[in-house]
Amino acid sequence: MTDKELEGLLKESKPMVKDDYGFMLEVIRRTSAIKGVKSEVDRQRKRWHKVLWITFFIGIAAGILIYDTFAFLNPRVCYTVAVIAITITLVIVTTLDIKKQSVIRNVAKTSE
Amino acid sequence: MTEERFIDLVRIEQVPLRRFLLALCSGDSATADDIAQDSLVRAYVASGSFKGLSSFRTWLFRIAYNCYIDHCRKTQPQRLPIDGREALNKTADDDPDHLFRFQNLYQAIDRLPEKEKAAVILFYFEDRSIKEIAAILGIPSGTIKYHLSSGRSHLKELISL
Repeated sequence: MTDKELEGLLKESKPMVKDDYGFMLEVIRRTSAIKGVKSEVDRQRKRWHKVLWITFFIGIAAGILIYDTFAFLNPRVCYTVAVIAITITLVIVTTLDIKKQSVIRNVAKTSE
Repeated sequence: MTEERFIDLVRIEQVPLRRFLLALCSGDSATADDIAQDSLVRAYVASGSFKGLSSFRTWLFRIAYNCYIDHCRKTQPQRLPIDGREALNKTADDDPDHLFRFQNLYQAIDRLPEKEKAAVILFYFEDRSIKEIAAILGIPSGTIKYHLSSGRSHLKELISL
């Protein structure tokens, strides 16, 4: 069998699926049943966004503060410490985001 | 995304989504519809995080594919005899030789490794581009091309057996 013959066979063998009204009714029933769960997930998502931004700005501020306060001692060391502070904050932000995603996933799974 | 908007989009996408899952489940329409329902519930709950970076269809197919993978992990892989008639919605009156060819093809597709199977189904049954398939399966375009090429080789071997 050549590639063309195989491709022809594949293209003419598409599974036939009809528009199923019953399927759509079940989708509507299920989505209506979990409306409350969805609004809770959306609320959590918005709250987490706020937390993430606040943490991010705190990290930047801490970095600047460290740099400004101790710059007179050794600028190079202060710069390094500030960068480390910002990096740690970014790691915290990312971890929080991953945790948020897993919370949302769990809520979605529970709702099923 | 409001519930009404979500339902409207799902109404448009339900046939391709169910066809994709039906092909992945090797013609088992009950399992395919169950996975489709689960993936739509997940999609609805997560619809607040849909940012429109990809099309709604690509996003939905990605969720459905993940649900299918979850389903495969939960249940022992069952090698049921594939009913080509059910998969293709054909009746016993159709040409038996034609049906045999379809059944043979579906059995061959079922024996492909998961990623190859999904890539072949999306490319040939759903007419999706390499880029879209890459987004759905979460792997680079080059790997999709490789999966399609090795999928074709495997299919040729399996069909000619």
